[in-house]
Formats: sequence, structure tokens, C-alpha cells
Amino acid sequence: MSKRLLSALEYPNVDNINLSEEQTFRTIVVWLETNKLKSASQQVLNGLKNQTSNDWNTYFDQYKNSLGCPLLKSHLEELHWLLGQAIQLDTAKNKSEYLKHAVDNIKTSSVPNVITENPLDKLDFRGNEFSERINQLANTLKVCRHPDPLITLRAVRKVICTRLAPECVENPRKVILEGTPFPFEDTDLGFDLHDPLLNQAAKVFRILYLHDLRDLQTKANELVVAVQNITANPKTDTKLGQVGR
Amino acid sequence: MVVRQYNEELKYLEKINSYCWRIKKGFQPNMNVEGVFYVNSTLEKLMLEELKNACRPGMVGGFLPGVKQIANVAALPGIVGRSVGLPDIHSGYGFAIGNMAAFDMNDPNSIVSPGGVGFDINCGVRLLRTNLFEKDVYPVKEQLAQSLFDHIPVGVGSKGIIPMNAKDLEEALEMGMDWSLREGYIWAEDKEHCEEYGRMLNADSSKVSTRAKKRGLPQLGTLGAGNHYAEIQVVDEIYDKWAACKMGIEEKGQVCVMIHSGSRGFGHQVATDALVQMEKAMKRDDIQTNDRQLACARINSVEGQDYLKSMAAAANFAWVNRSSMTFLSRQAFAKQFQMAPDDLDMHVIYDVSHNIAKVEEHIVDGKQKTLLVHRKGSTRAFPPHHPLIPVDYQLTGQPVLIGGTMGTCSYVLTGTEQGMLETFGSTCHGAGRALSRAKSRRNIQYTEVLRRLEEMDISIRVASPKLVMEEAPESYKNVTDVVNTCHAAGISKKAIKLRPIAVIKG
Amino acid sequence: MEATFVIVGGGIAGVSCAETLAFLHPEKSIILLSESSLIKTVTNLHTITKTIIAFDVEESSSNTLNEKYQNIKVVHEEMVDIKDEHCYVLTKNGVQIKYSYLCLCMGAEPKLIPQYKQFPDRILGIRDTDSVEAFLNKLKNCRKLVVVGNGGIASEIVYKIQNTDIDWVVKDNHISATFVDPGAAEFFQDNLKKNVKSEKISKRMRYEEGETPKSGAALGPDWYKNLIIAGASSENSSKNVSIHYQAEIATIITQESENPLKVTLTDGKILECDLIISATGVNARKNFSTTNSLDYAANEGIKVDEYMRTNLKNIYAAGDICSANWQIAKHWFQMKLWTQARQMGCYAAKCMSGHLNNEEVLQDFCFEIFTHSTKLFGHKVILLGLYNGQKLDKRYELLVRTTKGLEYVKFVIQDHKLQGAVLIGETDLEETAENLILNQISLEPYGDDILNPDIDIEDYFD
Repeated sequence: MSKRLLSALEYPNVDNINLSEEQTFRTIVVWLETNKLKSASQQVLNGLKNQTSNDWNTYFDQYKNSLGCPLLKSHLEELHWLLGQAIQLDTAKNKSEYLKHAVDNIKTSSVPNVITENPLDKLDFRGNEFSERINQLANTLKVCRHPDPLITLRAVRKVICTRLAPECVENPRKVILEGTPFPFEDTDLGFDLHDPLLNQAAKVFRILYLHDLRDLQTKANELVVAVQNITANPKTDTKLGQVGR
Repeated sequence: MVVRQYNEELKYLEKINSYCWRIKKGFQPNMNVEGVFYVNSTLEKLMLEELKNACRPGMVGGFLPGVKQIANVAALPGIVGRSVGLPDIHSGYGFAIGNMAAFDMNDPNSIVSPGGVGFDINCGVRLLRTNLFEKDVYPVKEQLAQSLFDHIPVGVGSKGIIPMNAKDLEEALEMGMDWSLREGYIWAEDKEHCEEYGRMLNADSSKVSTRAKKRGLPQLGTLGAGNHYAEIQVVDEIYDKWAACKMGIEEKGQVCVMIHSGSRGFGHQVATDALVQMEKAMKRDDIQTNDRQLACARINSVEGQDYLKSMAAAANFAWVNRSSMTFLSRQAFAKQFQMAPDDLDMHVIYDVSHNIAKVEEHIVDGKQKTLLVHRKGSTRAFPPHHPLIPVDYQLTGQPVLIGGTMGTCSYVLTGTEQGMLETFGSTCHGAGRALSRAKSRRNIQYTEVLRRLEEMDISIRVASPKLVMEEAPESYKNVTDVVNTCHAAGISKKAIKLRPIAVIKG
Repeated sequence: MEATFVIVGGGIAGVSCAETLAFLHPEKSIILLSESSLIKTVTNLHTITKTIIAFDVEESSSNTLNEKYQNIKVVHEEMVDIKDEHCYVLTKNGVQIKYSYLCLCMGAEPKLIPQYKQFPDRILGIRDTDSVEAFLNKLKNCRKLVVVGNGGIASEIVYKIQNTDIDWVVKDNHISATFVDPGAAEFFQDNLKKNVKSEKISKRMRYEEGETPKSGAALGPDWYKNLIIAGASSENSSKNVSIHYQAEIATIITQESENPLKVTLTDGKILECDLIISATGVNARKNFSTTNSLDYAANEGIKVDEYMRTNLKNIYAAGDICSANWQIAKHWFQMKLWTQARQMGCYAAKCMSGHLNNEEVLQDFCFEIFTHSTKLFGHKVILLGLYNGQKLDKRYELLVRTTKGLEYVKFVIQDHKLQGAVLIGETDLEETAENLILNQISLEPYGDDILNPDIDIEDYFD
């Protein structure tokens, strides 16, 4: 693993080095400090560069302290830790480069990213115009109004995101749950608040809670399926038909 | 057992209402709490007749009547509430089958008893739905049954439809259905519709003997014999439209698959090993019980903890077993209908456990308590809004799957608030058998057989019916009576009735 | 030729072994060496309890095995020598086959009564496919038949044969002694007099036999299923079966008569017949040589350890040819049966696979308790544990329940614990009895009630 890190850092001739040799170890430390970490004081660096000196370890200890290296058992582990530091620095330096290849960005990277500032920042959320327009939007989308236009906006956003998303418009069945609606008003709440209105409200909360819970459970299932894609290997007598889903 | 005249015995029993009887203290010695049992008029007759027969002279020992067993359980240390007999109760080893009892986890004297769980640990029922209807299945019924036979009962270890080695078994014991999930035998959605999500977290396979593992290995994915079976069923009646709807059952005639199986020899070995350990623990801790078969140990003793950990492993075994059979059933259907199981909508409606002990929170005398609930031949039936039931059933209550005896009807019930209060959220598990269902067996002309055996110079006994039953022993506890009693008593609610169209029996 | 696994013998043990290996190691090469082009495949397998498995045995052309499993190659050769030091075998035709693991499943050959050499035309041994063929041909002209032997095959012949008179000579004091006790024999007695019509009238199916020389593997459990076994007497005459207990054949001489054989029994009785069937058991096959000598047990089987290994490196044995030489579990014993051949074949495969992969192998649980499921005289028969009080030295008691023509249940009980059981008919008790034997639960409280016909104990112990 250390060798892989070294080659990632473009250390020369990685394949032919022996990490357990003290001399190699010292060479790598100096190389790392000079080319990647660049944190040591001149005095320590000089001490390290003097690779054959008996004081080398003293300087190395100082160097480790300055970097905040934890107590480790062997040179190999220390080297691994140093390599980790170097990799981190390297990645941070080239962050934008790496992000281009991040999974999330691969799909969208071809779309030009033009937004430099958010026009919404300039809106007056307390103004009458804003409030009117939001209400209009709510009416169009048949969303119930709330005195606070920002809350109405949230509801509107939810409708747009779930129901008017491109994949939903294309294939509404995927998102809109079908089946018989459940007459939740007739169900037992499990407790009684001795006030029909409060009971009604409590039921609504129940339903909302269940909705969230269902969402959570679905996400848990999706996670399991994602893991299954890696681990599943059902062994069976194949002549009995297809395996899995 | 105390031997009294039948009339004397009756003085300890009191009918509380049309569906419920009380067993007063003193019916058996040392009762810490009262007993209770649920019966309708038919079952009541059977129950009392069983007691009456046991009161005859010379009937001491052997198979105790259900009422006596309920009362003996009420005498166990640490029991709280009442010792509950469900309508399908019948004689069993230690606890009667259909008896549930809860023990206070905070009482240091409280016990756990393998007899209160049973040998076939986590024996249970799983129900799969399909989007097929009877008319789709009827013409190919035979082929489908054959296909299920081809897939399911084949001894997995020996023939190897799902090959398992020792390492797989260890993992399966620790992981339960998560093992089946990881290996890709089942669907992610299956897990949420299982009690405990198909995995007891306290399972510890190091507490399980090698003999149990060896005994279990060849059996994973096998159905078993005796009262284990798989059935293709159709919806015969819908009592609760909304509950059915939540389970994905829309109409009469819809086809379902019911799988009834448990941990088989593995559970038997775990229970047997524990019984031996507990007999020692009882001597050491000076625990007294009314019946030697009620071997038990304090929950917090090493023996008690070891048993709970190995029992959990056996429970996991049973879930993997039912999951393997779910997988194989889906394969069989997919093959027959040339459709993916997904497109056949073959989801698990629910999976219940009959023989298990679990730690649960209940309200006892107005206070919340942590209890070790033993359910033997009894199903958990939690009410709507209970935090431990799946989100899909939050509004309807937990589905309770009741298998009839093979070939008769089965039911789906739902849990109720009343059941939560009266029976620690427990209800019946199926039809009652054992001391009741007599086959038409008669011993005639066995003298010649006997004579030939005597030549072998071995002591011989012949089992023959005791001619004490005044009426014909047609006393089988019908599943419909059992379910109707639970419904009428309010401890669970009828939702669906299912009728078998093909039986697959190991 | 070369293969990772080489299995010798196309009987149940060999084929079960090859099939299991093919399933466990689809990537490895397997050679099945069979003298016959017919091999046994197990079909219609169903588990009755965890250790009891009932199955039908079908004879099918060895091509079917090739078709089913791509990595099995069936070679029709007779093995004559094992060069165990260099890991290869030699066949009669000089073919060399190298192996990494070798499993010997050649089974056994029938023991014949000593007079066989005198009258090879009139004394038949029944053991394998070919002898059945010969038997059927000879039986067509037979009016009086003598059957010697008391095992499963003898019992089935007596039960199945139509239209001929039978004298059945058994050395025990009751019939079918290999499997059942005198009581059960009595239970069966009535079935003997019936002329049984085979359910399905069909000539036996033969697949392409070709010119391959054959010397077959042992018969399967249902060898007679589709056969009409009929003698020469007229169609509707009733069958007369006379049983001669505690007797063996003393001498046989020919005579000028309708029935050319005159048989004198050890008890002095004289019988006349035209055909004698000898079904008196088998001896393990030994028709091959090895470089280092194989260890044989006193009963002539090759000694195998708990992993089915012989004393020679990487050589395993399974089925009738081997002799279990491990610490035998209390409720198990070896018997030359189809069931055990199959169990051993599968288990040997698992052991070889485990040893190849360096995995831990748990001994298969089927060696913990003896189980055998068969059909005798048209009844389902299940034998469990020490079903005849084997190893118990007469220190046991029997609990019996029987209903004529319907069921016969026998529990062998020692110290109030169940040690073995015979279950005949549809009793539904097999899993319970198996669990009671394995769990060793005390049955003391129940007394005789454990088999009370009014009580179902199936789910009492659930």
C-alpha cells in the first residue's frame, strides 16, 4: 500500500525499492519533505538531509513532532503516516481537478456551469409583490396558502421537485403512488385528546410521521440493494431457473 | 400434580365472560399469579373435558391437561400479569403449546425456560403474496406444486440447492436474514416485514454446541416433516378491507404462498443442550417448579444468558431457513409463469414467530416494565402505532399469520390495543392438535403380532387407546373456532381468510 | 487422461459423489469410470425428515450425466490397478488416468450359495441390472421357485412375483429379518398371498446400450417398479408362498421330473423346483490391485476414516465397498443399503472438496443416526436408530402399536429413552421419533401413552 501511495506521489523507481531498508526510508523522508510536505524548518531539514549522521533520528523526532505525527511502532507505519499527509496535501492542491472525476459530477460535468450569483438573493421576501406572486403560483399548482409566503414557497418547491421533475413528468406512475387511499380519518389514533379538532390534527401528524418513516425505510432498502449489488452471489442449482430478481 | 375430584377442580375456575376463563391461585401449588384462558363454547367443552379425563383415577402423570400446565407456569419465579392460555392451547413439553408468560427482567429471581419456547425454536409462518388469481393458477396447479416440490424439500445439505459449509452456517447464525440478504437470496423489502427484522442481535454462535451445528447444517432450506408445510393459497374472504389493502391483498381469489417451518433439528439440539444445563442450575440456585419439564434458569445466570444467546442463533437459523424457502418459491413461480418474481409481485406480507422468547416493554399495573416474554405456540400481535411494527402496518396493526392444520383454512389477523393490555400483545398460532386430533386408529387383532415379538425374549408393551372417553374423541380444535374466539375476545382482529389449493409437505 | 477427481463406479455412491462434486466444483474436471454404460441417477428425491431421504433410482444412459454436468466425463473402462504412489489408475484396456483425488465406489457383488457352480443355469443371484434381465427370462418358464435369503431383495421378489409357487427359505425365525422384527413380519404376512399387479404395465426402458461391455452396479430401491415379474403358471391362479423358517439349503440334486431340481433343506424338508433365487447378501468388490496395500476390515470392506479416507493418500471410498472405521455414533451402524451408498457418496464428495480447499469439514449428521426409508410389501417402511435393538444386547423394551393392514409402530426403549423405531404405514411420526432419539428426552412420564392412538405426539415436542 505504501508503494502505491509513493507511486501516486510520483516517487521515482518505486518498483525497485525496499522500504524496510533504513537508508531508503531516510531518502524517502527527505524527498517527501523537500517535494511535498515542505514544512520543516531549515535546521531540521538540514539535519534530515544529512542521512548518514548519527543524529538523524533526533532530527526526525523533532520533524515528527512538528507535523503532529502520533506515536507509531515502526518506521514503516511512520512512513505510511507521512505518505498519508503528503497525499492529503496533494489532493487538496488539485481539488478542482479531482472533483471533475467525482462520481456526482461525472454526469453533469458536460453541462456548462454559468450561475455566478443567485438572482434570488436580490428578492424582497417581505414585499407585497413577492407574496402575491407566490400566492398566484400556489393557486396554479393547487397548493394551500400559508400567511407566511416563505412557507407557501416551501410547499410549492416540494410540489415542483416531486411532481414536476422531468422524470416525473415523463413517467408519472413512478412517483405518484397508486392504490386505494387509506381512510385514515376512521382509524384509531391510539389515544384520545378529547377534542375532535386536536384529534384530527394529531392524525395528520401521524400520517406525516409515517410518511417520513416510509421514506427512511425506502432509503434503507435502497442502501441494502446497493450493498447487495456488490455482495450478492446466490449459489443455487442453475437448472432450476433464474437466480435473484 | 394435585389430584382432586373434577367438581373440586372446577371451583378454581371462573368464567369471566363468554370468551374468557380465570384460573385462581391454588389450582396448582405455589401460583404467583392467576391464569387465564380464552375459549368459545366449543373449545370450552374440549378444555373442560380434557381436565375431567385427567381427574379420573389412575390418570396421574403423562400428558398434563392444558389448564394444569397454564397453572404450573403461573407458579414460576418472576412471572408477572397472568399466565395466558390462547384458544388453540394443547399439551406440550413443559409449557403447553399456546401458553404465553412474561417475566420481569428487573426481578433477579425471574427465569427463562426452554420449555416456554419449545424445541422448534422460532417455528413460524411466512406469507408471500402474488398478483396472480386462482384462475391463472388453477390450470397449472399440478405443475406448480411439482415445481415447488422440486425446489423446496430437497435436503439442502445433501443435495445442495443452496450449498452451505460450516463457515456459512456460523455467519448465518449470527446474521439471520441479513445473511440471506448479503448473499442475495432475498429482497431488501423482505426484511422490514419480519419480526425483529429477521435478525436477533444477541445471537452468539459460540454458545451453540457443535452437535447442534452439525445437526442443522444439512437442514437449511428444508421444510421438514410433521406439521411443517408450504401451501399455495387463495384469498377466500376479506374481513377488513383496509388492513388487507395495506398487505397488498385487493380481492378474493388472489394467490398467496404460505411457508410454515422453523429451526428444525438445530432448535431441538439447542433446547436439549439447554435443558441439561438448566437442570444443574436449578439445583445450584434452588429453583423449585411444579413440573420437572419446566427446567429453567435465572435470566441473569450464565445458563440463562447462554440459552438466550443460542436461542437467538436458532431463531436466526429459522429466518434463514424461511428466507431460503422464499427464494426457492419465487424461483418455482418464476419458472412456471416465465416471469420475474418481481413482476409477480411476490412480496413478503409478513413473517411471524411462534416459538420464541423476547425482551419487550409492556405496561403492567400502570407501570412500564421490561419483560422477557415467552411465547410458545403463540404469536406476537402488536396493535396499531406500536413502534416495533413495520411502517406499512402502523395504521392497521401487526399482521398475524395463522396456519390451519395442513389442508384446512388459514387466517390473517391484526393486533389490537386490547390484546396489548390483556395478553402482552399475543394471540393464537394455529389449530390445536396433540391431545385432541385422533386419527381413526384402532388396535385390532394384534395378538399374533405380539406372540411373534415375545419370541424375541424382550419386554413388550402395547399402546392402546384408553377407553375413558365417553364421547368419540372427535375433539380437534378447529382453526376457525380458534380464530373466532380471538376475534370475539378482542385480542386480535380478523382480516383475511385463505384457502389452500395445493400443499407441499416435506 | 487426467482429472482433479476420479470416481470409480457408476452405482448410486459413485454417481452421487460425482454429482455433488460437479455442483461444488463446476470448474474442476471429474472423471467417472464406469464399466456399464448405464448409470444410476437419483430422481424424485424428497426429504422425509432431516436425515431420512426417500428417492427413486433411475437407470439412465451415462450421456445424461454428461449433459447435465459439463465437467463430468464418463469413461467406460474397467479399472484394474491403482498406482497410488504416482496418483494414476490403469484400466483393463491400458488407459492411464491421473487423479488428484480418487474415490472408490465399486460397490459389492452378490454372495451366492455354494451349489451355484453345480447348476449355473438354474441358480440365479440377483444384484444388478443384468441379473434381473436373466432372472425375468428364466422366470417365464418357471412354475415352482425357491428363494433363499431374507433381505430386502428376497422380500420384494416374494412379494412381487406373480403366477408361480414359491418356497421361501430363510435362516431366521421370521421373514425380512434384515429390516424388521418378527412382529412386523407378521404384519406383512397377509400381503404375501396376494398376486400383485404392477401399477404401471411397461417393459423396462433401456437406453442405447451399444457394444460396451457391462457389469452393472447394484440395483436401486425400486428396481422392480416397472417390471412384470411373472412365472409360467396360468394368469389367475393364486400365488402359493410357503415359508421355511430357520432353514438353509443343504443339498441340491437333479431329477427327471417336471421340476428338475430336488432341494434338501437343513431341517430335512425336501422341495422341488425349477429355479432357485439366491439373494443372500453381498461382498465388497476386490477386483483391482494397488501398489501399497489397502487396509481392509474384517467384514472385507475397505477401511475408511471419518472423512471417508482410506489408508492410501488422496484415495477415498464410499458405499458398499467401504467399511466405516471411525468412532461410530450410538444410534448409527453401517448397512449395505442404497440410502447409505448415497449418503456416503455425497459426503465423500464434500470431504474431498473440503480437503482440496483446506476447509473445515463437519462430519455429516446422517452418520449420527441410522435412517432407512423403503417400501416393503407395498407399505412405506421407515427404520430409525437401533430399530431392531442392535447394540443394545437385549437390554431394552418394546412399545408397539399396530392396526392390521394399516400401520405398525414399534419404539425401542432403553432407560425410558427412545433408541430406535420401526414405522410402517403412514404414521407421520418420523420427524418426532428422529428427534426423540437424537434428543434422548426421558419418556418416563408418558408411559405407554407416548403411542396412545388417541394422542398425537407430533407437535407435543415442538
